[in-house]
Amino acid sequence: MRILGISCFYHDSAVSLVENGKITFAAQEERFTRKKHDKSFPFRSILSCLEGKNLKINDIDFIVFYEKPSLKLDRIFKTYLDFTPNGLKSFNESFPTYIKNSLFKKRNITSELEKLGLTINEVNKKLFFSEHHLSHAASAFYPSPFDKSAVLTMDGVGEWTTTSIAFGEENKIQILKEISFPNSLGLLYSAFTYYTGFKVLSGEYKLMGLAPYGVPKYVDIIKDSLIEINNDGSFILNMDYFNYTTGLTMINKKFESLFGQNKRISESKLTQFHMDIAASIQKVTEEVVLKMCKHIKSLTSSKNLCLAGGVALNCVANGKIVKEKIFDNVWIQPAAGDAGGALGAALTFYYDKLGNCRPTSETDTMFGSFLGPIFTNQYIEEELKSLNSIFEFHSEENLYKEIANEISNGKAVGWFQDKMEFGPRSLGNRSILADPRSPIMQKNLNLKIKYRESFRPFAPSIIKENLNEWFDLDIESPYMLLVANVAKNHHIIKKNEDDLFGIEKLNIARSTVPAITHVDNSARIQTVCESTNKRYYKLIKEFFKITGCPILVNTSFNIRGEPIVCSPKDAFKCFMGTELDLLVIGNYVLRKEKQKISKKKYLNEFELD
Amino acid sequence: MNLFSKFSSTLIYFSIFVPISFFYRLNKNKKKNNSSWIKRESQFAKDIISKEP
Repeated sequence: MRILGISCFYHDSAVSLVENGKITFAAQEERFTRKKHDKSFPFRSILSCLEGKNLKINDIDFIVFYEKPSLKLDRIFKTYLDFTPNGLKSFNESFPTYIKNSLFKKRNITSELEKLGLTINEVNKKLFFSEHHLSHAASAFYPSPFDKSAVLTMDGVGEWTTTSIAFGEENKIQILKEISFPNSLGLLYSAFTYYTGFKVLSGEYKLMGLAPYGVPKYVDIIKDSLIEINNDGSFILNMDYFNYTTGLTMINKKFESLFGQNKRISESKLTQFHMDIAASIQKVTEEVVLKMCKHIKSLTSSKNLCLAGGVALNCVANGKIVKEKIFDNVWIQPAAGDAGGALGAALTFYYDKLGNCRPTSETDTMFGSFLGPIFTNQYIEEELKSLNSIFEFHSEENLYKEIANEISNGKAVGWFQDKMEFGPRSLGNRSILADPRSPIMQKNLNLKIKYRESFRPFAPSIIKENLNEWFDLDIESPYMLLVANVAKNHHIIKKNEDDLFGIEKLNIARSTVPAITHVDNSARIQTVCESTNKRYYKLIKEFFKITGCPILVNTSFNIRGEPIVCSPKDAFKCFMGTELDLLVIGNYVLRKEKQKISKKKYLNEFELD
Repeated sequence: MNLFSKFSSTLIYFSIFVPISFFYRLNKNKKKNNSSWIKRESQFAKDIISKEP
């Protein structure tokens, strides 16, 4: 039984393949088309999936789309009715497109599937539709290691739902409660993302990363004017300040007046005000999420919690949930955004609709989220030759020693191995790695390699066994979705920090691993386990032997605005277009100084995110 | 968007949308709750997954 899950036409299109309940493939379309957050039908991901598995489209038994276009249309229509006569401008400019896209979504999917080789009758027989938040809930519960669990999904908006509480038990999910559009925690966060001059649907991470530089001095204003938070975690937004229901922007003039400043122009200077705004909305978000979690606990008495939806990528809030110990166990879907909907849609069809038994598992069934395409050494060698690159082949054991040694000498390494990660995080197969002990590495990586804003922090990958010695975290974080503090014994005593504001705080080394320590001493942690990523584990272990530090800086293998590299060719292009010192693809090592082809201008190829 | 389609769109908005909106909001339940949590009618995933029209 093969089920293909598809999510597309909004943002982060993706495909997943579930074979007899086992997740065997999942990838985002952006990795293949090289367009960040690509929303188009995941044609190339499907081809990669079928090719990699040696399958034809006819071998697929069912295809499940992650949401219901008719319900979405219902929401768009009724929202306009609710807010009339506001929204004439948006009605004229966007309404026809919205209607066309929603009305003909099924027809568009059908025609794309026809291009892949299915007949219209086959599509009609095989194609089903899940609901947006059910797909999220399923993506969180079914791969989790729990037999029973409460499930919380939070995002911008699906069809109508923006937040849902569900309960999963064995092979069934029951949705208990939900919050409807326009009340949306995701859209509230996005409104502030927009206000602080970042791009909606991609800049939310930046706002979260900016928050520790600020003071949450606008919390009361937000709670008095923008959001009414109830004790059960439910909330009502004051739509007088927002424009996303029928407008073309997230916020209106009244919102700007509330804080006394206009929206920040993209790429202009970030001030203390923006940092304080970021800190404030982050604090409000955490308050809502924690109240929701307490409500879920009282509602379900569950000792387990699963999380999904875009808001579940807010790893600072996730860290607070863990720290509060409301639940014994928390599991978060690594592709918590809409891409993960493709996975949830396929899984919920397999278990709920077809009634298949769900085997118990002590670990999660995401395979470390390494679910994308893989390339053999033979393919890599041919590709590298065709690119006129100069490379060395290293034996398995020598490779780890050599690269760990280079990293300990301050080199930045592009590390490309095995299957590509599913979800927004690089987890050690398509990563840029560096030495966390270096006080200049954070700045260097941001400005010379990633070409991104200097305030953005980097994440550590740590060997699982050494976690407690380095961080205040007592559960695993394999998907880099939890934030916790660097352990106190690794802090460096600082002087006169009270005089510093905003970005100035960045220049202080505050721990023995400054490259991964944020200004509030926190870090977005990835624990690396030998069973899910042997190669990466061995590399960190070698680095540990050399330096006594079981941590590497791990950032996604891309530059600003670029999707994470997918193929060896993408990796080579990124390597040659940046200040990366080494590139490792499989067992092949490329050194920048030995390459004979000239460095290409790379940054301009991608639109800034 | 050209002038004609803008004009016809505006015409549709005021002649159809605005009157429908008036009656839609008139019939809508205005009761204010202390919580914005809503209980679903169809709670089970197996009933939610379906074919689309």
